[in-house]
Amino acid sequence: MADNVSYGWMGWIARVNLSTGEITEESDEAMQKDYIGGMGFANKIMYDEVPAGVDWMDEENKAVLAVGPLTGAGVPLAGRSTWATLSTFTTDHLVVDCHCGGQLGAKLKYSGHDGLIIEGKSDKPVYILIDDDKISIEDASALWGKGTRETTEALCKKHGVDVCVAAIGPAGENLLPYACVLNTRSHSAGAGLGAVLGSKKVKAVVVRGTKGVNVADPQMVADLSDYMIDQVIGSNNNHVVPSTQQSWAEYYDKGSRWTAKKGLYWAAAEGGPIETGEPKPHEPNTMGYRCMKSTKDLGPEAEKYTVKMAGCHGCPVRCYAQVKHPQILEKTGYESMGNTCVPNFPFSSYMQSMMKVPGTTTEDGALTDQSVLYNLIIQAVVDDLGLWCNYAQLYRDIAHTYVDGILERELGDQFAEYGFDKIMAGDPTPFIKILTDIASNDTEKKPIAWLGYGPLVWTEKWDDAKWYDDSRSCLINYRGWPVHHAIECFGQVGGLYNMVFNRDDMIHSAVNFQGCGLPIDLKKEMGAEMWGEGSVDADKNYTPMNEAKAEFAWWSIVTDVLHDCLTLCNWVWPMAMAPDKDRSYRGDLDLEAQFYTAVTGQEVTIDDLYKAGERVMTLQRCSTARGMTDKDGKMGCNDFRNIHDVITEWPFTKDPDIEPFTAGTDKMEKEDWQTALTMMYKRFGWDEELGCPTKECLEDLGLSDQAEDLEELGLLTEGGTKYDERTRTYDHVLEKYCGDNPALNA
Amino acid sequence: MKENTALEQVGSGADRLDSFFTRRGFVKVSSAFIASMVGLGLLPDSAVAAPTSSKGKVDYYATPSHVLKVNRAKCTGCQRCEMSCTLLNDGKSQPAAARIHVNDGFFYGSELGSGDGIYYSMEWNIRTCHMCTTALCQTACPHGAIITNDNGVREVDPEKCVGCGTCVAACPWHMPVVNTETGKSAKCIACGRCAEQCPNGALELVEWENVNHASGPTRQENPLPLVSEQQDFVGGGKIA
Repeated sequence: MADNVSYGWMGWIARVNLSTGEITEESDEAMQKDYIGGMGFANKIMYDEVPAGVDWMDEENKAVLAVGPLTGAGVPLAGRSTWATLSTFTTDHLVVDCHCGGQLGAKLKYSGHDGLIIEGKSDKPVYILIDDDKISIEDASALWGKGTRETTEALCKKHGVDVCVAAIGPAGENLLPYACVLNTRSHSAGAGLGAVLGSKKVKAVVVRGTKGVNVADPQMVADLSDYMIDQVIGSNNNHVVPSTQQSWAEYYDKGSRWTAKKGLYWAAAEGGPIETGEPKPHEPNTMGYRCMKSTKDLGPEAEKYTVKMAGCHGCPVRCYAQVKHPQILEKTGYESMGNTCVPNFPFSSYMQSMMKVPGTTTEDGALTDQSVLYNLIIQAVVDDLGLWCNYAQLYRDIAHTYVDGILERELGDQFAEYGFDKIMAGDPTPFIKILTDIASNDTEKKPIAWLGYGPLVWTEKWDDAKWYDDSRSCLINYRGWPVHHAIECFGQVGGLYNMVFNRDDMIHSAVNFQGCGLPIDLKKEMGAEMWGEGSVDADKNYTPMNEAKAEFAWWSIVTDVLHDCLTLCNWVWPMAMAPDKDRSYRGDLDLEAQFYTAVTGQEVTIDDLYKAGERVMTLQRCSTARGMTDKDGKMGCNDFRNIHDVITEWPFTKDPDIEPFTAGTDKMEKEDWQTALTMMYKRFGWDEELGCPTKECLEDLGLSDQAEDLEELGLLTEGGTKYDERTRTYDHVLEKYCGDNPALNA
Repeated sequence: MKENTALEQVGSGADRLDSFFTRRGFVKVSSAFIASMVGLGLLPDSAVAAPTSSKGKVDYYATPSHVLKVNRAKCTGCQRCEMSCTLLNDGKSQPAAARIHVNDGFFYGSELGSGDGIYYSMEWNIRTCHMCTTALCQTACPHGAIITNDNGVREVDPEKCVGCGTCVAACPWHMPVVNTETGKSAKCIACGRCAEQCPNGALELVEWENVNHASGPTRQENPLPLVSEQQDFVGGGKIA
């Protein structure tokens, strides 16, 4: 009997073919060891099943949702899920990952599935219903045209309030490249996934899961969780010191997301205000108060609207503000609001610096009540329309095209209808029309919708290619994506990891460490232990490239990919630092491996898991090489250095009066940047000149099929070193600080 | 005998037990009576061995030792309680079989239109076992599968349980769950693991008290009208 139990993995992936109506399930056992789950499964399936040259709206494109062995297994912060599909908005429309939290991943897992492959195309609106083992394709005609809120409600009315609905809104139905899939009100899977589902006429995925995840050593999962929560984990982004001076804390840092403090309340809580207070390490029952996100994101005025915090399934860090605002209810019809990322500050963080709307901040720089209203109205609108923002690019682009006269020039008479004058005068209501028109994708009648295609398209339409090289754009790669913690995050380290995917990277391993709040000298010491001497520089005081920085960049990438496979939240994991002074603030890098072993029963080290992360990254690199067009427009290209990993110009030209690598700037230097690419390629075992995976590297990672494919296409080079010969060893690297770790004491 | 119409309806005789074993007091009954209760599974084995007082009477406190108290305003909806519960009690992570319920009230509260849930008031419906002194789940079970353990807490004996769901129906709060995988019912045993790791201290395992009215409202007094009855998408389409 015991042999038949699958620990960690549910063991099955559902396949729904919308063209034929066929629904099947297949075992994922063969992929488990090498690809783990989540991003690994989804990318493996995309590589094997979607050939190069397929366009995102073709019937041959697929949308693959997957979770991993740790999802929903009781491990802290294991509530995320990953989709893979073809990009709708970046050059060559290559494979991208669309991560989301909320309840979707856990519910899918509990339904008995590690994944869902959506393939083919329906000719009429449908939704996919997964009710444990029963999977069906249902008619969604009545839902077409509706927002994500109404869609969710209608489906819960029909199937019960315990189902999780992941839905597209009008943006996805209209095939707008910037469309996403929303679950749990405000958790979005982006990168154009909404448009891909729209092209397949899939309005929603509805999941009920009542099964259990088998866990090999449930006591160890509980013990490791308790240990982690007691002394290792901090707040959101694993910030480990409070943002204000508190009696218990040796350090504080005003940028920290450990924002709880005495006198700061969830002021709109049911039954009266609840004080966030001073939650300390070793207090598992106050952990969820550490991150007071509404006032952190929306400013001090948001306190009175704050009901509580929430977040993804299974996570003790509650990073999602839950706020209600009477004017938002009046203007949008929706009362409940709140997010943890861009939709919490679309206006104040990304538009205001260009638009300079009077009344947004007080004289001393604090955000005002007006700012709260501006941010929340945009949030309410985009999440209901299922409109994605390309990590805030949409907002920067709206602001830029407005303030620099591009919209006025391109929209003609329509420009006046968008009410920018009202927006400038303190009324955010016109954003509803602006965003709704963008979501309409009616570029003929409402050309403002071009902004929803991304800069790749609209800068060409509106003759604004120079926007890429303007530091205000924050565009970091000419293939169409913006920074996601780039050169401002450890210089070359951040720059490098912004290059590797086909969208913004969503890597937080490094930026978590940067913002954790510990003093720089201590961080340098910790960096030396983990990645080597010289890996960590002080902010805006960067030094030229070195091997330790390449190690840090590699680690940032493989940990992120690993987390998206397992699935763990890389917005807090990995545990590189801790709030507990008694452990000298050191984290515990072995925890992923120990949880993996406790859940699955399979012994692994963290180095084994990093290798798996590297395998999945390298697999995606192979996908990209197959489909990427070269400078002559021919498909199939391995010159990543000159075609794919091309950073925009502004990192080299900003701060014209300051030299690179001097205090006060994060400016980069061109020759040094090329050295940085070479070092990163070498660390991955890729071709040091081209940045493509080599034969040796692929064979060592067990990717011989991919090596053959690339060879056939003439894209395979020799060289590269085996994983074991080029890696630092991370196994037990922080062990001397981890005396209380239950797995070490087992 | 105190009045309790809910119990009268059940007609199981539990109402009479209730008058003997109130939360306030010790009662004095004969050891033979205790033994017969033990025999029926309505009292734990330890009851027979409980110290006797003078005159051959037994002092026995039949109320459950502990109960969970919830402050739903503090609950941030992580559902770690459900996973922790089942990891400890079932050896796997299975929220749908947990002895505390958050996930099914998370989106829309107790029901659509309650005005609760993450889509409305941002208060969700949390259900925990009330640890009734007279447990209808127990008295209703046709197989005598719900026994009283040494702490006075009712517990499902999986050997006897046939998964008929009578306990679920009998409980005024439908707290027991028939596990879809094992086909056995389970209910809260006051182990406290959920409260131990609640990141917001929204759950507390306290010495028994009547919590029937302590776990907060189950709907808004004036719930907002349903979005699906108001508008297709944001702004009601009026502005766009």
